[in-house]
Amino acid sequence: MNSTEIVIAIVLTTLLILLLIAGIVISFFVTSRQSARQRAAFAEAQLKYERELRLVETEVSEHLMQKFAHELHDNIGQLLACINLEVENRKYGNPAMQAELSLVGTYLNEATDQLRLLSRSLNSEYVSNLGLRKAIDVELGRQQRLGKFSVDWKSDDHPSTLDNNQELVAFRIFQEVVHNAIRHSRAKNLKVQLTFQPSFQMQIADDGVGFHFDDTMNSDRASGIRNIVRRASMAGFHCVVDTRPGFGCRYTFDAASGNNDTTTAKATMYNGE
Amino acid sequence: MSETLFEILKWMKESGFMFLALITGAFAFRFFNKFYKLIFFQVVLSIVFYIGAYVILMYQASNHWMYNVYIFAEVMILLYAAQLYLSGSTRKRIVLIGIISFLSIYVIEGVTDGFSDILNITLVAAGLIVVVVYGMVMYSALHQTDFDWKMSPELWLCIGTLVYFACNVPFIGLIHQLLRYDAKLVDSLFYITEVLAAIRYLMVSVAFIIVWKQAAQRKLTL
Repeated sequence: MNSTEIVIAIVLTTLLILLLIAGIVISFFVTSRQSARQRAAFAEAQLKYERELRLVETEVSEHLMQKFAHELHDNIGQLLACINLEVENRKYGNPAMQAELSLVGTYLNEATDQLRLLSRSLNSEYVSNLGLRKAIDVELGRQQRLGKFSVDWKSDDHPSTLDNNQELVAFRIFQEVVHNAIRHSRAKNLKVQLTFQPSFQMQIADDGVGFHFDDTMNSDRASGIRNIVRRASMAGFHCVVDTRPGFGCRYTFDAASGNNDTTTAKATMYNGE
Repeated sequence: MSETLFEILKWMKESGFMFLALITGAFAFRFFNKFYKLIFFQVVLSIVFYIGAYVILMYQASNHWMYNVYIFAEVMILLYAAQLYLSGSTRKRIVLIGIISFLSIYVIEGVTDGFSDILNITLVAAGLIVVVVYGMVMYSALHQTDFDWKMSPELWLCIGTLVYFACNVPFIGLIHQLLRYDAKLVDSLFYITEVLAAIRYLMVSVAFIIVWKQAAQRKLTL
């Protein structure tokens, strides 16, 4: 074997190994792409399943609320009406007790009104028929009558850009946020803004105690917020929770950048404007 | 004077990609994790040994012993970096077996044949071990990457390492026989190693640049 043959042999062997390495790299690359495709398909199936599950959950909870609303309206409402009738009868039969019974009658009327409004707000058909703007208006009126806090409520006059399901979800989100404000925030003022142009945006702010977003989300006390975030993502709303301890809380739901699961937490002060 | 200048220029040409890797690595160093820090350390070490080999040749006839020291340091750094990178006990165990095998072959060949000549069996074994280990690194890097594969720094790094270590085996494996047969032929064939080293360090530079670019993008979006 002369020098040239040795050089050729070594160079050819080196090139052969180079080809082998290229083959290995290409096969790794192909398998990785296949596995990435499988992962993507799996994630998509998982997402679809989650969506279906949320839809079923919503349907079940809406059905339950509807049933509850009917029960309130038909049974308890009827009972209260009967009691009211009885009080009125007693008033006529017992003129000495008229002043005391009138007070009871007033409270009963108030309870009946509150019950009627509550049953309406729980009834999804009522919300669909009324529209989001009017439903929020009625619900805020009910809350104001309870005297928990003062409400600053603003809305534009543009027609709704949401479909019926989105309106219903937006209303349930609104109820959950208000419920949280009543239960946890010790707020004195509530500010609600609703706009449909240029795109849907619902902003609910309170001047309550606020909270640390990450800590709350990592704790077991976050079921309400998780529910809000989950519903918002289901309806395709982008949700921004703007809060920190001692500085109130502001939720912004936005359909302009919708159809993503993003929830952003910021920390700025509620200025009460 | 002109001869010295010519030597320096020739040396710069041969080690140009090594310096490119050094420069890009120095710029991207603050974004490196432990794995890339070790790879960068290996680049620094290779430059130190490269300079050292030239200096030693001025005073001694052979610098083979230094090459033996270098290959020990290089392979140990690369294997330790892979050990840090890879997750999963089986893969880590394979790297550990690679390290133990390399050390055993190194010591046995060194003690038997002496450290003054190139330990070519050790070099071939090191080549095979590094190819297996960095094949695993590339496999796991590609399977972790959901984004654009071209932007996976590990991929480029592994391609360079695999090409260098695998393609060096035929030449290094026969180096003793070739030295006995024709020393000038070895000098000619050493060109293969130089080309492979250039490819390797070019790929390392690309990997460093990608790490740098990705870190800069992350910083902008935060």
